[in-house]
Amino acid sequence: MAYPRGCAGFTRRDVLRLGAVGLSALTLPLALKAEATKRRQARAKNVIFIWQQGGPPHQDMWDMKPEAPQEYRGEFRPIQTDLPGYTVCELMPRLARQVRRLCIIRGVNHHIPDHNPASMYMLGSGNPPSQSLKYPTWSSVVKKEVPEVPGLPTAVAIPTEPSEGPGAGFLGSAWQSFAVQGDPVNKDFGVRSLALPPGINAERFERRRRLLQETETSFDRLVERPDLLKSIDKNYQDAHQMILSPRTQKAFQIGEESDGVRDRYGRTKLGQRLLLARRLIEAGVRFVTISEPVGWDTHADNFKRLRDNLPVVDQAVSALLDDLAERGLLSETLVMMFGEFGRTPAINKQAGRDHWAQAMSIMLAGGGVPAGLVYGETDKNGAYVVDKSHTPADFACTIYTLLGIDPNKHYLTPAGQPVPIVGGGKPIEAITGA
Amino acid sequence: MRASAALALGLCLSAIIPVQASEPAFGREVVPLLYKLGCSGGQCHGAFAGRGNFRLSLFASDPEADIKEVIGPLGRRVNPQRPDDSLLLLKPTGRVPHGGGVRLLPHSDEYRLLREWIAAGAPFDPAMEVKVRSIRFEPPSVVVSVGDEPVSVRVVAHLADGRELDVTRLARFEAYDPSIATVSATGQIRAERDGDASVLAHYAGEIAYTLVLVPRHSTDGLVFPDEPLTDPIDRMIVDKLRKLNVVPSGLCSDAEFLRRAWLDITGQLPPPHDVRRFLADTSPDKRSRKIDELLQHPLHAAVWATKLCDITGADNRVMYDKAVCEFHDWYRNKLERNVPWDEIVKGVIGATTADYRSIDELRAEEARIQEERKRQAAAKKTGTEAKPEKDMQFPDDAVYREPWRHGYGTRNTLDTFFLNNKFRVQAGPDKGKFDPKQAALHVATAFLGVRLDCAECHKHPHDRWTQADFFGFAAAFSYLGRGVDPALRAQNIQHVNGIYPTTVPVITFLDPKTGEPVPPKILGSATIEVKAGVDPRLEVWRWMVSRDNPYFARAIVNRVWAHYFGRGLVDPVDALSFANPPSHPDVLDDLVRDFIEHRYDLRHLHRRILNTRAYQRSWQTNVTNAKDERNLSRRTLRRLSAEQVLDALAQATGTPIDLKPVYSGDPNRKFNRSVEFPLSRPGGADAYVLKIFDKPQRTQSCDCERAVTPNLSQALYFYNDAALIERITHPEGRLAKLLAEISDDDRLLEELYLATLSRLPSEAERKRSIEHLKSAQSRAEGFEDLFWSLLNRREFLVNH
Repeated sequence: MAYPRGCAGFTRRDVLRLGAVGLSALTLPLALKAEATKRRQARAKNVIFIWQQGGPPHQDMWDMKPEAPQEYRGEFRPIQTDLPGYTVCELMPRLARQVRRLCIIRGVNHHIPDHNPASMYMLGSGNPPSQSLKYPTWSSVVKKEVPEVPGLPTAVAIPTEPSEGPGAGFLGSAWQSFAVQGDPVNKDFGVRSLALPPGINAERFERRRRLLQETETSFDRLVERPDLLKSIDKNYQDAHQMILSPRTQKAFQIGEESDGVRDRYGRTKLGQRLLLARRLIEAGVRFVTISEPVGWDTHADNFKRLRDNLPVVDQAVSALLDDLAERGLLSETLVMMFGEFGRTPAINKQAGRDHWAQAMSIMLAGGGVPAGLVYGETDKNGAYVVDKSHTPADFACTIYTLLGIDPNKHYLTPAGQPVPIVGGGKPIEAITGA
Repeated sequence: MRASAALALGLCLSAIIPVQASEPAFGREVVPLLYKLGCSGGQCHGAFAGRGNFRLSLFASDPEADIKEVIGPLGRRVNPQRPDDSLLLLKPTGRVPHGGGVRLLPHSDEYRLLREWIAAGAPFDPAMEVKVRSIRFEPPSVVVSVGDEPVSVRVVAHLADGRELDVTRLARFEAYDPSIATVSATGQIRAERDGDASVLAHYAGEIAYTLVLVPRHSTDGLVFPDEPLTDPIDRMIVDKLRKLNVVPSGLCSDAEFLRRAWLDITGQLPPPHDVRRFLADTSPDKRSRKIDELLQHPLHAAVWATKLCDITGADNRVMYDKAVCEFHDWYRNKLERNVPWDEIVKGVIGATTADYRSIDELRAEEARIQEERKRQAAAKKTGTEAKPEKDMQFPDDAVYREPWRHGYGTRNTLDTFFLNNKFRVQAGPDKGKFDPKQAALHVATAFLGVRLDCAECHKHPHDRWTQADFFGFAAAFSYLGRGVDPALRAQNIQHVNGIYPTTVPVITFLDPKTGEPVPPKILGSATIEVKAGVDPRLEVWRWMVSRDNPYFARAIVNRVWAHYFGRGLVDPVDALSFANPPSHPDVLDDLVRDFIEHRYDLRHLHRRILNTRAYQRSWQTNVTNAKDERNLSRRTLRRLSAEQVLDALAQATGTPIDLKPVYSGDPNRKFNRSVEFPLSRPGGADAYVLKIFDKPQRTQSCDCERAVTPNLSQALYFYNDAALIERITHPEGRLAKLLAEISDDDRLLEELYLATLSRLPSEAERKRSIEHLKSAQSRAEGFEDLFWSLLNRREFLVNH
């Protein structure tokens, strides 16, 4: 039994089963490539993951309950979508016309109505939060499983990895996404430290690298190189390769997009983050995590806040899906959007909704998911799942199966324990196509 | 009403079946059993709304609420005539479809117990049931090796009437780290791998733990060193290591000690001259003298002021920059003067804007203010420049150089703490009002090491705290007025505008069960009677500093320990709870006792810890302790904190840091080091460094906000950022000066090693460096790249 302990600092953080690699040990991608040949048939190649921190209200977005009593149903009217019989919130008119592209899962639920542990759950590959182990997040598993392209980060977070999640967990922080840090909506956006500084040419760059490498022996007397050092080593290798890659540098230059394209996504934080995500995927990045710029923890003024937030989501996400489709990327790129839980059926005194883990809605698109599928159902008040109830583990197995990653594959923790990527759970066949 | 209904039901049933003398007790047996079987977990019937119309109190904490549910409407879940046909038995055995699957086997002891209770008429009389006082493990600690037969433990309950009861079969067990030791439902502990972990037992709302040690098979031929262990806590630590067959590392070198002590105590690297002097010093007590010296260093107080700002929510996104500066100044002032910890905390949680000043003092101050206003008005009339007189409080520029020694920092109390905008109701009818719940959560986490967040909505899953405890504690912070105290206004004193104690609560909390107002309470204990002259916050404080308080002193002792070792004796540091036992209970107890005996003297606490062998061990490992994280057998390598990284860069390169206020703030305020920069969200060119190295933004009242893990942005910054090259080549920086002053390459090389790695280069390093210098285009370029390589060494980025 492992219950969450608030935002406890879980102990074992890092592992890298690579041995002590120096800067020159660039055989790593090959090792991973060999591993990757064993991967199963993948439907999705890339992922764009929109994390809605705080818990978005399912019943005011994808799971409208117009028949519920007034104290539950909320202010918004449902509107018809392009999928007959299915309605969504009136504040998402563009997405309403794209439901035929989407797969809405309404049956995933859990039992932790608490941000930190619930985020650990939904970001930690569907593994219940544990006091002794942090499980790797989605992007870290993908980074570990797909072959690395030298100089190109496999996983990128815009602007940073969600801080309430486990990050790379026990795999060690070297498997974290590369965080762009800045916000692409800002005029002066750029990823720092990628271009060689003035006065440093390639020859000098190489000369001082050799000096560093050949004097980097301070901790050689350790019996075992700890995860901290292994992670730093790996980061240095990745940094070195990225600096030498013009392709990577170009991928981050969102200014190369036309005004028309930038406007289409919306000149909002979310819009421009999604546009950058598309550029990165196009350049070969495999997993982009977008932290939603607004919080969804609407304990107060739920409806007022949604009136601000939902139109932004509607424009940005619909533009992304169109753009991916036009570029022929949608079929191989899985777009997923969710938070750590849903929100209470009852509206509280502050015109808000509180935490509710027994129901939530997950939006998927592209990447081989069945388009136009609304899967699972909640009761008349949006409180409990009455049809096709699934655990976060089932959901995680589904996603990894779509990506051709075996959810039962085991990793070794720093203590040497074999731990599956997803503990328990079965893929949802209606989505993976058995 | 609930009890009487149950009683009436019981009576009517007992007419049919005679109550047996030894029938199972509902509160003491049935309810714990339902918990043990998993029925009352959060994902099942313990969920807030229950499951399948059957709702149990989470973790079996409330038998009086559970009895009604267990019996069911009209007694539908129990059938005393045909107990086996009771829904309560049909469901968990799977004879009737059960969403939770099969939890109970017919003919098991558990089944028999439930059946007997039902057969007895499902009785419950809360008044008749003897309450459980506490539970304990027998034995209190277990040593078991991998491959051994499992060891049996017992759980013994101590009842209110003095009796003791073996409740092993009813207790729910939980292994803290199942990769080290697992536990069966019957209390059999099995070793899985080397290490130590606890096994917990839950029973009737009480929690106990036993420490499980799983020794290595042997020390692999290593012998325990014969070393001086003068402090008893060092002996306790080594005693445990002996039990575990883990051989500790030796003493670290002098250079390592010096760098470590400077970084840990002041956040700075040792200046090169100090390294040379310390290495040359041959006196045996030089380490403890250095500790004393560094504890007096002005930046020592700044390190802890920053930490206290982190944990008390001094975030300049929700407060003015000025207010956050006041936080920092106030803490730093108190810490620099080594004000006892209990007094510091009193100044926070009992803060008032009047600041304990007498009515006469306040009146005199009011007069001065009025006088100044008149003077300015007069000056305006005569047309002379209405230049404000030099601030009386701030006689000279010292206020900009040492702001914490003047002005706000000198106050007795930190009233800004309660003026945090986070402590306001966000919406609804009370929007904008002071929110005592937020204040209470911060106080509990920062000063008691207790997280009450869970208890806001339900009973805390891993602690004793109930919703009523939480609301009672929050209510103690509800007696605060905002603005000018009417009592002072009546005396014509208008200038004291902020917070003042009142006898009327800002917000009244209602007990979620009874709907009655919750009176202010000491956490989990006595009710505070509010009347004129009684500030419930100070009653909370009196409880905190009472000698037997299990949290207050432990929380800070544990935090100080964690600061020096990278993890607390209780870890995480803000999770002091019965369910999170310390790695070394004896060490923690000893330190706490000593700290209280020394009247909460923080510097004494720091000094004692810094002088231990445990603190001064080497990072070099041996085969037995390479994996040790918990048992203090070696120094654990840690990445420098965000502030340490920036300060070390500035220090090593001899260049200034560029951090600025963002929203407002005094541009004249001077500071040289990022560790003394008060704001959580700085502006300026170097804010980026603090960001990528995870300086906490103080959004959450949680220690978990500060990460010290490496990431790719950090590597890119050190490896290739133009700003780093600018620091190295800065025309007034260290390298420029050294190049001009020192013509001998070997000597210059030494200086760079001392400035970065705080030691002299090894022979191999010297040789490789000189070789590099020869191949460079110019002397300057050669040293620039050498400097760059030193800043990029793991050894620079790591506190070892």
